[in-house]
Amino acid sequence: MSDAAPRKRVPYRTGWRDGIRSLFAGRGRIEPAVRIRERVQRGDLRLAEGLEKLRHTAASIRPEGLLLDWGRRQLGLAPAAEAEWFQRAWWGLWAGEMFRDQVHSMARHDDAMTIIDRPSPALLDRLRATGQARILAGAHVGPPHAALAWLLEQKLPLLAWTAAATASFGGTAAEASLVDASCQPNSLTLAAFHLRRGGVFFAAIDGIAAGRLILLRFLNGGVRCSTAIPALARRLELPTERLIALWKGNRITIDCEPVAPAAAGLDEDSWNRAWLEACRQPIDEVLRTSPENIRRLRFWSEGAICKEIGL
Amino acid sequence: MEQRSPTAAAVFAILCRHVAAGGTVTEDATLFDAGVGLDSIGFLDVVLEIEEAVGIRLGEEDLTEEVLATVGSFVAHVERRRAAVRP
Repeated sequence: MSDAAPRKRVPYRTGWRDGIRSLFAGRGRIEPAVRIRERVQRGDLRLAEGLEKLRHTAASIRPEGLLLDWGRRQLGLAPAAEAEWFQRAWWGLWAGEMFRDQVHSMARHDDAMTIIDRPSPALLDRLRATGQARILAGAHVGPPHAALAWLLEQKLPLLAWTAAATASFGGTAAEASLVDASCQPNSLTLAAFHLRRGGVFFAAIDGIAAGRLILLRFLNGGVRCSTAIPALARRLELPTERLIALWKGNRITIDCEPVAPAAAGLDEDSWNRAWLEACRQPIDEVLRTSPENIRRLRFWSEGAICKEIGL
Repeated sequence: MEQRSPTAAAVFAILCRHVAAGGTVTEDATLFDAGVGLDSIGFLDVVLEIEEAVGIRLGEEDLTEEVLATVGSFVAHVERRRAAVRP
């Protein structure tokens, strides 16, 4: 194929706002995944079949480009570990896009949900305990929108902060309310009202940039996280659980664990930092140990932040 | 100059404690942005402190665009809510 030949456009539904697209700028890395993705989108393959084909394809993709650069910079990959890391990360990024396509498709939503493993009944009992308000702290790791899709299925009194593009996702879930909090300065107060009624509030700690920001170290970089959610937990004295969906092989598991409360008597900034740090540590571990769960690569290593923390 | 009611005075005092650097607390100032300059945490603090000081419980229905348009409209609404719970 000559350089002048038209390039195949990567189809996407909800945008690649975080720079993932540029990671696949090399044609050799795009086309095998696009072909599989299109077959799944058309319904020629079930999602589980597409993910398995993608796994085989990943094994033949040569590590290179921005994704490999990112892994070297953020994780300090040893040369011997690069090939396996790259294949898993490459698979995870494409698998995540395929999952997102399907879970937002009216026709194929149920097919997407079949790859999510059901968590323990004890977790469901905890989340459904009548009148037990709680904050669920998510993060942008693992398959996009999987945790939210699973939560919507649980028929909880849910208020979730989402990006504007995702806010229509819960259209059929009468119990849930999805809001784009970025455009509402009273959004945190509305979340407080919801929690006071015994509701469940779900938001990503690395999501809405509301309130003051605290710089947290992730991998060899950093992320500015909003203090809005810890501020809410502190003022209402509510329990928090970290809830994220993760790839485990070709399936998705729901990982939900209580976040240890920050020590009493800390001043507000120290309390917020301790709360965020308690959420950060297991997420950082996920990013270090399971490359398929890495997303938003530029986000974790934004230039200005790297400069600030001396990288 | 018209004297403020105890409720209005309490709300003004709370807003003055939370005003952002360079912000202003006047009847026609907005609560957010260039007015009082509250951010989302600041506004939550204002609401929780008003509930405590004035003895009312606010909810979603109290946070309409009309109510939140200016300091004056917000204070007037809190006064109405307070009046409604008086014996």
